[in-house]
Amino acid sequence: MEFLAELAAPLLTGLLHGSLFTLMAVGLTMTFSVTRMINFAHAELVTLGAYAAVVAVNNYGWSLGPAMAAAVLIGLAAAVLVDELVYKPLTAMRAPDLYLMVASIGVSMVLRHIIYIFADLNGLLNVKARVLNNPVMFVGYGTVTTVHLWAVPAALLLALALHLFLTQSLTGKVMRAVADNVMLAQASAAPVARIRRLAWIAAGSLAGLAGAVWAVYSPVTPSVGWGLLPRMFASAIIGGLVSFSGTFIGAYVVGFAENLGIFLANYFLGTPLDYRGIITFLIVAVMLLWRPAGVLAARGGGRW
Amino acid sequence: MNLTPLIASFLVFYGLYLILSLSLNLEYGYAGQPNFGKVFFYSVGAYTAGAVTAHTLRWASFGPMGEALGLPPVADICSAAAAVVREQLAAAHPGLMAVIFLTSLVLAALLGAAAGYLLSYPALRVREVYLAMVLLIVAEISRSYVRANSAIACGAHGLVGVPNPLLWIDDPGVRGYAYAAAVLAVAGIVYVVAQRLGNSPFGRVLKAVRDDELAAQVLGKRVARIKGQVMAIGSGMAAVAGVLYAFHVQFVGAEDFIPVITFNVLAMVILGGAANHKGVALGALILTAVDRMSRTSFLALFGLQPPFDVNYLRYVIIGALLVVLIMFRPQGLLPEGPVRTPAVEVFQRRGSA
Repeated sequence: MEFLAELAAPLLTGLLHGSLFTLMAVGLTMTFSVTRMINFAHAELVTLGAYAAVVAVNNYGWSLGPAMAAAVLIGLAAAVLVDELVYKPLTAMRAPDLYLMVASIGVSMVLRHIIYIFADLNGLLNVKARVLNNPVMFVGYGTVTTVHLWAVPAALLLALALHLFLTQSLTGKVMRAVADNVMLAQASAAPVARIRRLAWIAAGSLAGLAGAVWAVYSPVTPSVGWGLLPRMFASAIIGGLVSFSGTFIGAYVVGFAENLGIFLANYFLGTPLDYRGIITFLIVAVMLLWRPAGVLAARGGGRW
Repeated sequence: MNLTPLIASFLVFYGLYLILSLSLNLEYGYAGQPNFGKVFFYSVGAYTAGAVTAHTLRWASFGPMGEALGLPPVADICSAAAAVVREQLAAAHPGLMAVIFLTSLVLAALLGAAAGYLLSYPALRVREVYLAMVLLIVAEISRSYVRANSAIACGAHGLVGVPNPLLWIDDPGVRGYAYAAAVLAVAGIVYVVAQRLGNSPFGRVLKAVRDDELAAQVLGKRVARIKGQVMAIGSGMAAVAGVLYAFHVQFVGAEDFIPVITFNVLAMVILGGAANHKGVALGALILTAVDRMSRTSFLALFGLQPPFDVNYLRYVIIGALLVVLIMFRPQGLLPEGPVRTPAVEVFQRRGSA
């Protein structure tokens, strides 16, 4: 019984992290699908969302609902702006994928350090949102908090909504076509520019939302998103960078591996808890050797 | 105003960044492999130098060398007392320090090369984007691991007191220039090696892999193995730079090895001109100057005190530079030229005659 009581805490944290990684990594997969580039600046969209929420709550006294809406809008605006200013012109110039990736690193550095300067000038280098993260229920040694009640349903709803969007709506089907083969989609008169815009809007808003929820859960620094980027990458790689359901599975695999996995390894094998990141790396390495196209690739390489 | 330490430190950092950017140029410029975990291989060199120095000098402090100086034997490595003992031993025994220095360089090159090959192995068979992501994951995870685990570099505090191998030179100015000369000599060797590699058949295969992987494969080149080889060579070079860095700052700590170092080096390569070693040497020179002149201590010499940490501003500038270069001048200041082979020279002579 003692073991089960101890198990509850990493289980709940894993569930929460998995849900938050879902919100973050799905956007990464979505923009990769339609642009063929990994957006390193995705991390900063999360950070922007987190800071938007913290500043709205702490400095302007907003309640959490409007603060989250502000975070979503900031993330969305930043994503669309960066696409308009950098990625879209580069794609129009037919720049290689490698150039787009390097450009996204530049964007990431600019955004992150502008946030750093802003935070340094305003004394916000390490802030906690003044929101109560209330315990709702105790399970063994674990606590279910209000953050769990938002993040987990949000991730599940997102998965359901994405599923319906990609399989039932025409726009979703066109998005899958664009992801599969841009040239072919263009030849079939698919509105590629509109689909790209839609992908950036979705990725930016989800990242902003994830950042806002993260800000309620844990203190915020200007590198909060960057620090989570390896986890987002790992989740997306498990999904093979193109599959949304694969990314969804990947996010929970990473969330549970870094909490439940390390707990079990520590409990039974005495593995030190510092190894949690190394477990994530090992999962990624094994994935790339075993099934480089993603965990669901055997299903026929579908995009959902 | 005494400029000697500033100039010596500038020369050392130019040498370090030159090695790093040449190694990234082989990987990124020639072979098209985005090694976005460069800083990890740099850190491997620094950790190696720290471990070799600390353990050898701890061992020496128990023997006749320690007794002759009347030093107390120190059992641990991370304490301040141990750092003092290391410094006194290093000042008294130039020969021992030379052995430690050379051993660190060789060992770090081997370890860096092995790490570069092994860690890129899983990602080399898929698209480049995976290599970039995997190596970034490695760099970030290793940093948090080393910070949490005191066995490698004394955890969060870092290993203080990695004495400079030239500590026996009494005049700090002369010592600074002598060490800078040593670093620049190593950088010169790396430059010659990179230049020869780039113009060799191997260098041409790298460019073939970059330009058209499928075509290279059809011509019988083993693409994955070639990528692994260039990752091993580049990572070995980066680890050598890490050793030189550790002995310069005389400190090894995980927090020195942040990802922006990788991207700073990437900016040097792209600014100078990818796949052009001369260009990269120029890019490294320009950005090392920016790097050294945008430090709080340097600005303070002119009475400037920005209200925020000036490092952030430098990173904004480097990030913006990366974006602007990729958008408007992706070939850099000195674009890639033709490969210098005997055949090319014969053709050029005929053309001009």
